[in-house]
Amino acid sequence: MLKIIVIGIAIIGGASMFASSRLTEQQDLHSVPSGVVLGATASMSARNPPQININVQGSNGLINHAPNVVTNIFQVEEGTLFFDHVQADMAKSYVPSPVINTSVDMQVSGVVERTRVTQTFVNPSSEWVDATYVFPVPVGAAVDELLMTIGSRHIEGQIQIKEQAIKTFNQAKQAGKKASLVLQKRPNLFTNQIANIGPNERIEISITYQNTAQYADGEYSVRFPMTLSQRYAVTAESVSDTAGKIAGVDAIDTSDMKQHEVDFVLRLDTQSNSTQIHSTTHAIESQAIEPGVYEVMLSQDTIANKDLVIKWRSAQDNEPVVAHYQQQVGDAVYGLVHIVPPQTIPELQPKHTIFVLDSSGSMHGTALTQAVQAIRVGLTQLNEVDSFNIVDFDSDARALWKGAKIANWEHLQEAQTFLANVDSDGGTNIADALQLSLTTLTGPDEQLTQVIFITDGSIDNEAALIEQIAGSIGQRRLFTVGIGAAPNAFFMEYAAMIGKGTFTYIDNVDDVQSTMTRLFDKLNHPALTNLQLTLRDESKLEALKSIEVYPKVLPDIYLGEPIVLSYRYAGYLDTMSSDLEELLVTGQMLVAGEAKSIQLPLTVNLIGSDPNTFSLFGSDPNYHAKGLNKLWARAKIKEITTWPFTNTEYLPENLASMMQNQITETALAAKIVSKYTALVAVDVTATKPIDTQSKAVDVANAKAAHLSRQHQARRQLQGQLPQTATPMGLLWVLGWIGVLGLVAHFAMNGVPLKGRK
Amino acid sequence: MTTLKLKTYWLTAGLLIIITVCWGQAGYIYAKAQLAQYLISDAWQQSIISGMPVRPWDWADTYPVAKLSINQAQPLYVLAGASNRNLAFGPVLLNADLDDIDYGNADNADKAQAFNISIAAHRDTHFALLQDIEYGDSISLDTGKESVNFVVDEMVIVDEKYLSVLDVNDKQVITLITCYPFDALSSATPLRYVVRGRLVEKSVG
Repeated sequence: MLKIIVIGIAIIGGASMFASSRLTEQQDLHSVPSGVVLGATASMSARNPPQININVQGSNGLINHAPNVVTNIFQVEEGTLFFDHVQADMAKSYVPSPVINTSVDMQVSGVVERTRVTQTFVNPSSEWVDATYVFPVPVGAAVDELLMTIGSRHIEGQIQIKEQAIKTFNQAKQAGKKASLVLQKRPNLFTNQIANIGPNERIEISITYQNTAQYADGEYSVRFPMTLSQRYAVTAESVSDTAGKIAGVDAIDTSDMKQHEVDFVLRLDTQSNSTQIHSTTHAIESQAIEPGVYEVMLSQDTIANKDLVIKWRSAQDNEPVVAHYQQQVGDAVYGLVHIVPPQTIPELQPKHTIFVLDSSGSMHGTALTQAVQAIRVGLTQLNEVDSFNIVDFDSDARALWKGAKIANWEHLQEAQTFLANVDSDGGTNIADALQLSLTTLTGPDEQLTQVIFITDGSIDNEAALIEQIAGSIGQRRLFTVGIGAAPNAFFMEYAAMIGKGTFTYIDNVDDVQSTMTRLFDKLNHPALTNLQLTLRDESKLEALKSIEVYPKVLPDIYLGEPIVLSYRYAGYLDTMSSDLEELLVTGQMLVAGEAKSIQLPLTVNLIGSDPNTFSLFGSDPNYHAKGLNKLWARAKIKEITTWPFTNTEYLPENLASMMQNQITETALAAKIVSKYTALVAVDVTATKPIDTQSKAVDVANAKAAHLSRQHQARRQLQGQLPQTATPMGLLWVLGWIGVLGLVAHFAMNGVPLKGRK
Repeated sequence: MTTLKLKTYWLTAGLLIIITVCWGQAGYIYAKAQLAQYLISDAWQQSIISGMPVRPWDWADTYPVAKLSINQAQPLYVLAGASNRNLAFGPVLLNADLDDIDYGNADNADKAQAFNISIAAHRDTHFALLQDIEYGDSISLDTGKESVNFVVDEMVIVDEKYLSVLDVNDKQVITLITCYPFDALSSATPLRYVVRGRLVEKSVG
């Protein structure tokens, strides 16, 4: 029996040794096969680390006993109020104040979401304090309203140009007036500074933002970022799943912050009586309060320890579903169009795929393994009617074949052999690879060419490459796939946008299969392509110029993905309908292998002639339909930020200031907070005694420096810090197990040499 | 009886191969890490003389960008490019380069520009020494043009996804990153040990 165990260990050791020695060259920094008994033990101990409590700020004596001091407010993901905290050495840190209560009032009508978050905080000290309130919003949301209630005072925020707003705020602060300033720090993170809060005063802060519901795989969803996702010690997987998110704070005891309760109400108007509502994150209860209108609440008072996601699904359709909303704001009409492709899987269309593989020196090791694996998975996803080719590039680019070949067994074998011989060395000449894949190589006529570009994007001539893509993309589609610890996501996202494709990031080798399969599901089913906004009556096309639509280039819509258009028409609802008559989105949809032209009439689902009748918020007079113009402004600002790559109108030296002007103008008109605009609220009377000093230090400059330079090292890395361990220790232990096995074996069977005679 | 002997032989031979290959691999990784640093130190000397990046060996896709000294330990040569291959040879610089860093003057640190030089290395070779580091230890970085000294004032364990340690805040700092725990068997642990040093002085060298 013992012998069997010993042999078992030896076999396991041998198998893992074999596997790891094979992997060593390619993967000597990455995981050993996890099926190994030892590997499992090791990773268990890694996931349950011993008590780790090192930190914070050795310089001011706070090591190990400073549970609530945060040295960088950007470490926060939950809306949190910090009282500025002055320390002996004048280094500034922030102390989160206890949150008493959070209430969330979310209203969704169709796909338009408006959310008001109201939180009550208390200043527990006996000092006058200044505070900084940091709050996350979903990416893409437009913050447009701030209401602060301190004691009995209500202060409403006004939108101003950022410099002006900061000046206004600082003046009020000096004068001892209560004041508040909302700034956008990142697209999904805002701060609110509040000056002069009295001892033991309660502060209530309401922030309202406008957003659109997400749509994926047949379901709509809204997300409310209740808190930072996870701290490191809980589980490693969920810390941050998007690049823009800020991960948790290390070794800071946030149990106080996490324990507060959230009072959540969603009023959901789907105009469908058969809506199924559920949440993937929390227990919820929903009930129909009117036909097609539902009220959703959390089942019990819930601890705000993870984002709340609510999903719903209405009756499905085999035709594309179009939702169209209009609203009159001032002398302009704003519209939102939401198109969902049909749920049925369209017929497969023969397509032409070119895989482009970066095998430069920087891809050496795991990155290349992942990239090659990604292409191998891609190859298995091709259908026999498809044609394909592979381009491998480093200092120069080489194609597998001169022309595309159909994806039969023989050609796939040839491709596998080609991939097996790829070696990583040399420079990263993306220009040649683009030239080859976007221009030189051709596929069969009438086939859609999809270029799958797999790289870590370690290049420095981004602008020239983007220009090259824009100039040569034609009818092709460019899909970028980021690989390795440090892909240049910035470049790849823009490249995909210009190439009418998508950017996919694969952050570890285990995800290659699932991520590539998902990408190919999409590529295999281009649901709606060549989309354009136009008019039913072609004689009136001239009038289309009076409509400003974003995004300007409509992307293809793939299975299970929606498209959202925002437009603005300078005029009134009645003149709009007489000038334009009927808006259409035209494009092509695949039916039975044939590209069929489609026309989607944009029938208006909801019209609001003025904010009071078009109310997303039922009869609640506190809410007005401040919706569509803000979403349009947000879409326009997003478009403006792509100018460095798409602009042809302005000289490069004027570009930055043009962008700033346009963003400022757009944001001011729509009254939303942006990079260049801020919300500021100032109380009319001074409430703080003149001779009292508020406990605060102005850190505006430090923060500005932080923001301007924060991506310096970070841009080089996406997803995670580099994996910095070798399998040396494991190999060492495995060797010893071999020795033990040998000894045990000899002990039981005698030394074999003796018995040989 | 002979079949049993034969089995015995195979088992012995198999175990011996396992031992040899495991220890051989471990030794190879260790030797590669050590020897590469010698070759790189030559390249570093040459690049100081020529003022140009010098590749330590012909087929290298990297070059030394700085010399890192932690306390009295043997200096380490930091390589450009945060790739796995480079990590096998030495610590790697996570910043794109060090060119635009203004170290300023320690006397009027208020006016100096904030920066965060981030360097990663293996926990079991080059950065094994980080497990013994203490508050107040010294880290110095020689970039060829300048030599800057830091003093360790923060040590944190973070998740691998916690990229904020690379952010530039309002200070002038160096950030050393390696895997944690130091003695884990798995080479894919999700934690990182981060040592933060703040700038104390600068001497033109």
